[in-house]
Amino acid sequence: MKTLKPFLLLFSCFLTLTINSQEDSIKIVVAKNVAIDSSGIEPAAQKAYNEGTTAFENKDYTSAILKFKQALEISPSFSQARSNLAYTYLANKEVDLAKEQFLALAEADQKADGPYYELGTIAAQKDSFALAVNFFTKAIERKANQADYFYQRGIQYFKLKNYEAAITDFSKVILINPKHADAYNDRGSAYKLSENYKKAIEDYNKAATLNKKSGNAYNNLGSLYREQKKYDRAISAYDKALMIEKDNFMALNNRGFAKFEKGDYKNALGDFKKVILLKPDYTIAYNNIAGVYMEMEEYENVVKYASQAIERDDQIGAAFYNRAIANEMLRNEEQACQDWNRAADLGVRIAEEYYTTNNCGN
Amino acid sequence: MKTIILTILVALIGSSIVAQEVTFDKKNFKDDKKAFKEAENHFKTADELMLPYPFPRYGQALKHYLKAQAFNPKSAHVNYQIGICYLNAPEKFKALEFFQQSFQLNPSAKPDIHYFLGRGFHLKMDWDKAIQHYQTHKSRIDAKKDLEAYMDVNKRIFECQSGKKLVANPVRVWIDNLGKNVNSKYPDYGMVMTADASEIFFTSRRPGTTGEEKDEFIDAYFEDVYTSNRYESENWTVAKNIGAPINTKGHDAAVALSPDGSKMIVYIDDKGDGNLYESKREGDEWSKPKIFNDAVSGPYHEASAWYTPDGKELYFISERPLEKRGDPKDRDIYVATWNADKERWGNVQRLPETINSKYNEDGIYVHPDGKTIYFSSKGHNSMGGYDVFKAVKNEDGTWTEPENMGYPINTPDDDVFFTVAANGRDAYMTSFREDGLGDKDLYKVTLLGAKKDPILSGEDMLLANADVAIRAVQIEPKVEVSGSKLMILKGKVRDDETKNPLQAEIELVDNETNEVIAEFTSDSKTGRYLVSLPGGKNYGIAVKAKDYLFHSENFDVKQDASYKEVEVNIDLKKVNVGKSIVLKNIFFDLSKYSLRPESEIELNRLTQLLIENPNLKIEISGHTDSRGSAAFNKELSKNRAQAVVTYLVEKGIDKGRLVSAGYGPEQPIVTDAEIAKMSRRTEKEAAHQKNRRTEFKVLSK
Repeated sequence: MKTLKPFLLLFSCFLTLTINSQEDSIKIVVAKNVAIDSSGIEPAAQKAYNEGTTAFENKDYTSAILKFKQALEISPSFSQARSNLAYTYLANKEVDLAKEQFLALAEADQKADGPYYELGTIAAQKDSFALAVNFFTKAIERKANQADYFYQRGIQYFKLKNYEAAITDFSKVILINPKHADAYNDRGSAYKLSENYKKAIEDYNKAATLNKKSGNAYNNLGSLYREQKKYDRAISAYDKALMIEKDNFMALNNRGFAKFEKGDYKNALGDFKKVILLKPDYTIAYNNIAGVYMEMEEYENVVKYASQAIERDDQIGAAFYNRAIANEMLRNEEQACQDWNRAADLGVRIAEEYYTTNNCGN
Repeated sequence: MKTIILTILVALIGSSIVAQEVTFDKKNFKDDKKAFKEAENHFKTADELMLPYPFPRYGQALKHYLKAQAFNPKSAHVNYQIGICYLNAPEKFKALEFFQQSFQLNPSAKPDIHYFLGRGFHLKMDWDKAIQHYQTHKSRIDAKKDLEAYMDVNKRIFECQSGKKLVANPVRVWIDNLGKNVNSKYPDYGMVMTADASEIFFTSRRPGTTGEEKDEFIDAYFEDVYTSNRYESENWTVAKNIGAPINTKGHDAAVALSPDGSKMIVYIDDKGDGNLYESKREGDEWSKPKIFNDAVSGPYHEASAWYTPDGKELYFISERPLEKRGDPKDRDIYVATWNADKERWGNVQRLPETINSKYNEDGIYVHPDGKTIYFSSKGHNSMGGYDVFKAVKNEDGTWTEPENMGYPINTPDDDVFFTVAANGRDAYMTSFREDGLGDKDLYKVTLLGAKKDPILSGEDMLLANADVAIRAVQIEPKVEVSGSKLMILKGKVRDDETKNPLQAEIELVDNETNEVIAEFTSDSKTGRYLVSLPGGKNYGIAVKAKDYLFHSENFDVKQDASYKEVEVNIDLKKVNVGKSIVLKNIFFDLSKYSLRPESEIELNRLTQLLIENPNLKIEISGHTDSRGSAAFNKELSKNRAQAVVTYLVEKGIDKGRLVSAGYGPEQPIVTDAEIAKMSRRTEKEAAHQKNRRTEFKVLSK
């Protein structure tokens, strides 16, 4: 996982605009100290602008907003001021006001691609994927060779389950930047979900080669193999992920899952137990431990660990379902019925069937 | 020198094996003549008890043999005979050690010893050793001279092969003793029950049976029928002898019970060939059993039967000879149909060869779903003796392949009397188990179905920069839906005011075909009724009693409906002014007021009521739910009520006796406020459905 320092402030005379999709890790770049030039901007506006950027540096967003607005009142076409105002709104979590300013920027300058990119990002953050696609498309129309624009649009298509379009965009990214590891990984996932497993495997492997610091591509590769019931290959891919990141609890949990499906219950249990030591709040690992104990016919332990999963997340249908089976085997039929009922409410369809066949309703 | 010692040793060991046998010869017991004489007497008596054919008195002989064996454990003959006695006793598993002893004492004493060693290992489920001994025995048979023995041992080998497979894949069940309220230390077996398994009848040979006499052949009390129920609590009541007229001094055994418990079939060994009798119940009293007409109770042995849930068919086991095969001893499953006009059973059909193997079938049970049968067979892939099988009748009348119910329901010994309650999960059987209360006991078998697999999950970051992991849940295991597809409707019929139980006629109608499927009667003393409604029909139910307004119910039981038990106490109203009845089987097209053809039976019922009560004046009212325009609803309900009145007038009822009214949503059964409180959509829909109705009310009489 990427971790970014929030509010990383850069000083530059250029507008390098980036907002990461993670809300709490917004990277905002505010342009500062515009050179007094011949653009016809009033000195008073420039003064207000510079005061605004200082206030922004001091994280005094309210003052910064005020100053940028002042600059715009004096010189309404002062695009840097509008841009900074937009970003300050973002920093101040006033997204809708930021949106207005970006729209105005895009309108004012018919060639500006940046504002659309920001608008796309804002829409994506709000899970308005189709709207985000529109904005990124507009950004691309204004600037055709920007890898990021295609990459972000590809992600939106992916989330819209339009994998074909996602693959086209990720391919474009790779064409522009053949070393874009993430684009390979994401295209691999798009291929996987379009059931083109051969290409998915190729892409995951390429992503892993390009980014030697992340185990994510190997993890995804492992899961693909696991879903294809190629457990030995899956386990070896997860092993590679864990060689890169030994604390990758997700890969560790997945490896346990693969071992479980392979029938190697003892080692599956070992992996899952390591996961909860590594990440004590990782609910699904508790439920997975319950699942292994089920195969080992240790039903008391199933109840124990499924309950621990439920304590951490009472919406986990699978844990209610597993606990129900264990309760049935322990002949606590009433509790089994309650758990089946809950699991059914949480969308585990088979639980509904068991609820009836076990005569819970009668 | 070494060679000589070795030779001597081998000779000693060799001779010692053979020389172990000590026969019952007085020369061998010179020191203790008195004890020898006594043991010899036991031995001779036992041998005599083994002579009667075809029923040697194994139980009595065993006691004597054991005494003889206590004095001289080294007689190959006595050990062999003890093995034979045990093989014909409940403790069959004890036979093996005596056959082994006999064989060790003198391998050539009994020419068929390998067959019985095979039997011993077979019963202990030591399949490979059993097959080995059977093979040895087989190699000594001349198939041309003794084809029967040859075929028999071949069958045993096949049983062992089947057993090996079945035991390797046991079925998941819990087997629980029904407990001391039901079982005794004497033989308890042959349980029959109501469809919901709330009341049982079984055969017992405990002290306290009628006459308290013992059957001297087997040294056990004569059979009597006992009953227990769990109407009031989850525990079974203490078993009670049901007394005369079903129980007599001789053998009395319950063979079948109708799903509602109103009829019982008993087996009576009357003229030596054994026949089926039927007894009807009122409260706790049973009528004197009456023999089934000759289509069923013929001159051959009939000992098992069961009714279909509609009571229109009777499955039974008979030894009647086959036209083609002419083998009088082959027990097969037959089905007879009730002819309502002639009031007798007829049209007897033998079930096809796919069900009736060339070996014996017995212990037939018809599930309340009306299409699944459970029966015991010595054929198919039985693992030894009778095994319980299941077969389902397809829509086109053909049957599915009989399916062995598997181990541990089936064992190498005889497994007969297996019944499955309507819910498809609770089954009952008779078994002799070491942890039982003694001899055969009744057991509940909980059918757990296929193994339930756990659900695990993993997570992936499919998108390298995504904020949320995508959870990959293991695909939900597929299950073969094992539950029964039927509904059990039960309860009591009572007087609306006094709540006294009423004997009423319950008519079951298939609303699609407008045919009366079956008729039942509630018990006159308890008011109790039970109706099995197999999936796939829309049922109209009418409950009628003299001087009462009829009561109607409607249940739409889908083909794939999950099992449901619905308890409805039906309180019949006297024909009195002000009393009203909801006509649940009058149907209209959606938003229209034309009567649908399936309403006919209910309408005719209403016509009949008006004919039988010529002074009766009634109001027919229409009611809608609260959804949609009030004006439209009011108009619709008025028109619908009028449609019913028009029908009745056409049937000849005087117009002056009928008033029609449309109330729209004004008189709901479930109010909007109550509906608003309901959480589930289906619940709300059911409430609206309840409000949409046609009623009639007695205005004067």
